[in-house]
Amino acid sequence: MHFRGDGSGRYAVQLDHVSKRYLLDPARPWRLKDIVTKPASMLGQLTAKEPFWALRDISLTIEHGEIVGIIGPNGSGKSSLLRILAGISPPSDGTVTIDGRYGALLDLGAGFHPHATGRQNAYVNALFMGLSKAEANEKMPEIIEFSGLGQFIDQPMRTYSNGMYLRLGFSVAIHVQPDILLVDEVLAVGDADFQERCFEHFETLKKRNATIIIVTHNVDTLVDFADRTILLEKGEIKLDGKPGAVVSEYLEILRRSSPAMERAFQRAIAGRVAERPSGNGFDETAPVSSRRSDL
Amino acid sequence: MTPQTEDANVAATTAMRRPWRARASSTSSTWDLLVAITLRDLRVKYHGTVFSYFWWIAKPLALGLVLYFALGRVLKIDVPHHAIFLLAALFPWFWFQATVHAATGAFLANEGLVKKVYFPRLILPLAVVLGNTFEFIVTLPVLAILVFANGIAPSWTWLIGIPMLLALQFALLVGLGMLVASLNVFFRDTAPGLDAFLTLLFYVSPIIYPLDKVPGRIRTILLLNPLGPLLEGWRSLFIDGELPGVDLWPAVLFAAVALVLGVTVLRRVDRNLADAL
Repeated sequence: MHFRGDGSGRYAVQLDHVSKRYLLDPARPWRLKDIVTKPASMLGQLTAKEPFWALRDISLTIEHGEIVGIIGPNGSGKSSLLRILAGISPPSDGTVTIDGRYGALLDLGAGFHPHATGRQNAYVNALFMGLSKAEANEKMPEIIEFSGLGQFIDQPMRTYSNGMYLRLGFSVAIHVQPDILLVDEVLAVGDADFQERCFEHFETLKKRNATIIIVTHNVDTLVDFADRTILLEKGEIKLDGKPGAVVSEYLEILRRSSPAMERAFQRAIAGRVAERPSGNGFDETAPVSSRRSDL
Repeated sequence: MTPQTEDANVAATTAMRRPWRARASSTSSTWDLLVAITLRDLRVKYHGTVFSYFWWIAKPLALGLVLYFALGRVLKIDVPHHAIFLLAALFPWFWFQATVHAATGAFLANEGLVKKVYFPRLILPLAVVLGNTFEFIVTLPVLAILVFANGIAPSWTWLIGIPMLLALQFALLVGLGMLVASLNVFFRDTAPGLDAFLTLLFYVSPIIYPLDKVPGRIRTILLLNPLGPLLEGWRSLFIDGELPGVDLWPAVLFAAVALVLGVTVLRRVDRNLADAL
């Protein structure tokens, strides 16, 4: 049994030896003239695509109600993993078992149409996020109210500012209350108020014993919020445990990976040392961890 | 690939197929999504246009007018009820042409949705076909009025013939829509190639000329295009009140093949669509 839907299984999410392989196009696509100039190599190019393993042999289980962060350097396979969990992209190998109604917050306002009004888009988006027609109709007033868009809700979305767009997308997202929520980096956008409301929403979900899986570069989020953090590197699970320890390891990887990171790290440390003794009460130096998350 | 990994893939297939099935049954239904997307696209298409209904009939009317003067008055082609002869084929032609053209881009136009949410992909080409079919149906009264204005009495056979031809052309379009939408994701040559093909199809279909004026041998070949018998069917229904009969078989065959092919191809690409876009 791969999917239960009723939340009765022991685990919310179970991955068993999951791998993901992408086939890369050849560096130079073949053209019609190749048939004449180099027929042999053209045939080869048509068939041979370069395999790239975004994820290798990932096995993990996540329990109901767990809040799990996934971090890793760029290209470590975080997004591939989330896409597999969301059912958007199939694993090349292995099995995925998901137990419960899930909602994916991979993008706020996925598929919003610029020429449709906010109201039309919110309704369509709510259906695609998993609400039934009746639920969507029932929650529309709340969604509109929460977005704070007022009279603009009946304007085409091309006229919206970035903030209005995100507020509507977020308002729909929080009114879809899934058992398993997948979140991809959306916390990085939006102002402080927006992020605060995101966390309030997560707290409510947490109280309802929802499982939350967050992919982020923002290590502070994980330390504050997650029960557990998984560090991915080059498509494999490098470390899986308490957020604090995993985040340290992640920062260490970043530091080793590039001279620029190392310099930024040194600057951050030097900045702290230089500013601290002044003791003017304005400690503008953010903690090292959040600094580097901005980089 | 070893048999073992093959097995793993099969298991993975069922694993990934189930989430939306369970989801569809417990929450939003495929039908609701389809209706919502269709309505949104129709609203978007004509939002801000004042004469939206007029635009639906403008295309066939404009081309019909040009052809009527060029062929009927200048070249003096002698066809009874020439204006209706043209319009009765042009209305369904534009339905066909616009649908196939729009369905080609159905997945590309909704890339944001496909890459971020999982849902039965079938919805997207189907919404295109549904929207265009709606446009065609609401323009039919205009055609009927024009037929009447040309001195042809409405026939009771319309009540049976119109739904028959409508259903047949709809089935053909659903099959073709799924097929071209899927193909275009993996071979982007599909869209430009199809546009060229549609231009060709316009002239090899009996739209500007009657099929019986075509010499026998070529006529058989022309009948082997999916639209030929359909357009002839629409035409004889409106002009002669003649119910479509066995002459339609090539169109039925094409519709069946298109449906089977469309479903097969779409099922194959469904899971990989987000990766391929």
